[in-house]
This record gives sequence, C-alpha cells and structure tokens, in this order.
Amino acid sequence: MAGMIEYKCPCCGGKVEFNSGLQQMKCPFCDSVFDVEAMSEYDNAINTDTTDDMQWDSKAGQDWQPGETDNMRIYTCQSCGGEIVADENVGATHCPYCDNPVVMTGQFTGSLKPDYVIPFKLDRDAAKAAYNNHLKGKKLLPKLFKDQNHIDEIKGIYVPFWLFGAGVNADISYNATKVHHWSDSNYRYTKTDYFHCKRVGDLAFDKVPVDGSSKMEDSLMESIEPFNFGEAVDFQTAYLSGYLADKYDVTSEESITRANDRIRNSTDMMFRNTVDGYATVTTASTNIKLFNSKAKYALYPVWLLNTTWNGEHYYFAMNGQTGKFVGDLPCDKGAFWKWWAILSGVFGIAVYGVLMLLHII
Amino acid sequence: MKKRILTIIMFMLLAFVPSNVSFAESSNGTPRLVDDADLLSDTEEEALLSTLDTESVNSKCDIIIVTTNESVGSDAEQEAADFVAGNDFGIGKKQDAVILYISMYARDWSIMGTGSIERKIRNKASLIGDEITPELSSGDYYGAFVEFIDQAKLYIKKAHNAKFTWIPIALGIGMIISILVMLGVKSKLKSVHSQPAAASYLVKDSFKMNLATDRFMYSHIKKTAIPKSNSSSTSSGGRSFSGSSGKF
Repeated sequence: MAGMIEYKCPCCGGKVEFNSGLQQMKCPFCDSVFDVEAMSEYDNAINTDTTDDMQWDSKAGQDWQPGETDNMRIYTCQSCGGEIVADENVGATHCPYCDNPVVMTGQFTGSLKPDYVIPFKLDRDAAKAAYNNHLKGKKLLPKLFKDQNHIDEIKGIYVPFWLFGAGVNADISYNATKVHHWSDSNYRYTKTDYFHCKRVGDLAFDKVPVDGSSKMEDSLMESIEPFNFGEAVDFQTAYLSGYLADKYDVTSEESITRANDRIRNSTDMMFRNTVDGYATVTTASTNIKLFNSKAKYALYPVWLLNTTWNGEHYYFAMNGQTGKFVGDLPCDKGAFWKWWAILSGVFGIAVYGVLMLLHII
Repeated sequence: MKKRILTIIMFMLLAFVPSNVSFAESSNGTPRLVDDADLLSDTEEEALLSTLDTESVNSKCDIIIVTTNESVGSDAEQEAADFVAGNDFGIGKKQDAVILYISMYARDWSIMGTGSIERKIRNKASLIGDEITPELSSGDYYGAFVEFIDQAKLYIKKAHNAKFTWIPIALGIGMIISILVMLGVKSKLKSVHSQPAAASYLVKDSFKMNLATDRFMYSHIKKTAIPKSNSSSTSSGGRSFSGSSGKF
C-alpha cells in the first residue's frame, strides 16, 4: 500500500505494529513494547542522511613577490630524491631525511609562498641535550647503542604544514544501555534498558596541521605536536637564514582526508563524552557538516636527527618551538627476555603465596 | 662397631619418619569403623576395618565409617563432624579426615571432610553420596562402604596433589603478569605515535550543544537459575568441616 509507514523493531528488526490495547507499539516477534513517540523519533534518526559533508576551501599560500626568492637555492638528494630549500649561504651538504649527500640543483622557483612561519626558538645545543635526555631511564635500551651512538649532525628544518580550520555542525545518535542486576533465592535477574540518545551541536577547530612533505613521516610530525600558533608570524624569507626548508610535495587537497579524520574523531569524542551514565554506548549514526572552512600554508620549525645502528635507521625529531622530543629506540631483546624470566618466577611465587593465603591451595 | 653404626643409621632414619604416624585407631582408642547399627557381619567388619586402616595410612588421611541406630535429628552432618573432632581423628598438620556417617533411624547418610581435603570433599561429597545411595538403599552396606573408601581415596589423592597442580598455574599467571610489565617497560622506547584526534586545536568555548535527548526504548529481563549447592559446612572442636548429606 502506497504511503504506508513501517517501523522496524530496534530489538529484533521485525515489523512493529500499533497495539490498540496497550496504546503502544508492539513487536509481534519479540514482544518488545515501545512508546509511539520514541519509536517515531528512533525511526527518524536511523533514516537521517548519514553522509558527512566535509568540503574545504583549500586555497592556501600566496604567490612570491619578484626577487623574493633570489638567494634561495634548491638542493636535491641523489639517494631519496628529497628537495631542500636553503639560503645560498647555508651550503647544505647532507639530506636531513636519509643523511646522503645533496647537490645544489639551481635557483628556487615555483611552489607557493607560505602564509605563516613559526621561527625557531630552540637551538642546536637544546636539541643535543634533549636527545641525551631522551636516552635516559630506558631500561631496555641496548647499552651499546647508548655508548657507541653519536649524532654527528643535527639539522634545523622548516617543515611545510597545511593548517585547516572550520566550524563543525554535528548530529550524532547513539544506542545506549543501562544494566541492573538482582536475585532471589532461585534466580539471578539482569534487566537491560535500551536508550536512544541524540546529540546535535556545534564546535570549531583552528589550524589543524597536516604535514605537507611526503619525505617526512606523518606520525613523527604528529608526535611533536602541538605547535603554539600564537607565536607564528607572517612569512618572510629572512627566517630561513641558517636553516633548511622543505618544499611541500603533498598539496592541501591531498591533505584534507587526514584533517577530516582528526576533526571527525575529535567531534565524535566530544559528543560521546556527553552521553554518560550508561553501561554501554555505541554510535548509531553520524552526520558532520563543515562551515566557514579555510586552509593556510605555514612552515613549522623542527630539529631532525638520524642515526644508523646495527643496519637500522633511527629518526628523531624535536619541536623547534616547544622542545618536545620524540623518536623510537631499539630494544635489547636479551635483556627483555632475561627480565621476563626473572619476573615470571617472582610473580609466580607471589601468586602461589597469595593462593595459599586465601586457602585456595 | 657395625652394630653401633647400624643403630645410628636406624636412629637417623627414624628421625626422618613423619611425626604424623598413623595408627589403626584414634588417639582415644576409637577404631575407624564403628558399626553400632550392626549392618555388617563380623567378617565384613574385620575386612573393612583392615582396609580403612591401610588406606588411611597410605593416603595420609583418616577414612572413617560410623553407623548408628540413634536419631540424628536434622543434623547428620554435625553428628559426623562431632564424631571426628570428639575422637581426635585426623592425620598430618591439618588433621585430614573424611567420614561416612550412617543413621538407620531415619536412613540418613552424611559425608564430611576436614583439613586440607575439606574443599575437595565439600565439592564432591554429594557425588560420592549419589554413588553409594543405590547400594545403601538395596541393603548392600558392605558394597556401599567399599565404594565410599574407593571414592574417598580418589578425592583425597586429588586434594593432596592440588598443591602441585597449582604450581604451573601460578607460574603461568606469573608469566602473563611479567610479559605485561615488560611490554609496559618496552613501550617507553616508543614515542612516535599518530594523533588520531585534533583536540589541541579545538577553539576555546566553541562547543555548544543545541539538542541532547535520551529516550528510553525498551527493556529486556534475562533470568538465570542459581545452581543449587548440596554442600554445607560446620565446625566442631575448633575444626572446620564441609560435606553433604542425604537419605537412602
């Protein structure tokens, strides 16, 4: 019959009918009973368009002024193909990514001019000190790595970032449960109450950074976040003096997916935190729309260190503004298993003792 | 000289003989079989007493059988416990003992254990009871008592071996705790992680909730039967007893 409205049971998926005796909706298959208004609201929610609209105005960066790039040179790594921009006086010799020799391939041309730059606040000595500090207190770090490993060259590099900002309007529905337990002399009872929770609201994100260099590990750059954008200034080539700069090779359009993922996850987390007092909460539907979106192009200061040990490359990075230092370290497998065996014995004896104290043995 | 060395060796060997030496009766002279209800022939009594004594010594746990014509009221288990404690039965540091107490007045049986075997007997007494009830009902008391001894031996052995079966379990738990601790220590070597969210870039005070509704939809009640336990516990003479009882 055309125009007939059918409601599906949230419990078993069967067709729910209006029960005139109860004056409520009742599922003939699982006997669940629903308030008419609740059923209608639930049906609206599950039929809501769940396609996110996360379009961006991704125009960022500006054109260079005539003569602005005259003293900037391009250096190309013969090994990994990385292109580094540096002041003509820097005389870059090694690739900051793979430590192989780079050669000057000419005058810097093309590409966009960054909108902003955060100048370096911390110097090379601070990076060295942070590296030594990073090795401290690591029980499973091979002693030889600590003793033999010396970072000979530390490079300060301006890394290109696309910065995304937008208002977010979100409409998210959740299925939630509350569970009650009780018992009498014969039975244990578990009552599960099912709820449908709806949250609609707005929030805004500003300057969400996405690294615009394919040579730079995204996770390495995300690990040294956050940068304090309050200290950013309008870009001027003078800030590059004495440092290397990476040319972006991932466009703002290509970076949108990563920005959207992070914004979507944060929005979901914020809304999810408002659904409290339940035993379980699962997301039923999500509808996220962006408004007033804009993108900017900026250079962020990073100290890069890399070293090779036992044939493996290890990369370290320090936020040149805040000093946050990251980098994965090797593990001494022998020490790991030795301590595991010792602790297994200690914990085993402790567990046996506890069992004896509890009169289980 | 040889005789003296032999005497010293014998003395040293005796020094290592456990102090919980088992005798054929309790410390106050009560035998392990008391057939006041006269359910057994003299020959059966003699054979059964001999078996009880031998198996008690072998299994390091007093195995006792008592029959009576007297009424035990509603508490056959307490009577059984009082008999063991009152006659000071029990072998070893924890005074291990298990008793089958039969009252012909209302045809009650009770099996109670104490000491290191108490937990095992508490869980298995009703099973042993189920095994011997048909023979008790049919009047085959000797067969029922022999069956009781066999079953008791089995569970005493399991209870005594339990401490050894717990060693690999405790070690296994220790290994799991240890690997978790070590993985925690190892995780300190890893500091490079992707940032899944953008919470650091949320504009201050920008979060506004325009609608928040929580609507109740429906309820489900799940009912599970509580398993009935046939076991019970009591105490006598400062000792704890557990087991089960029934009728035949």
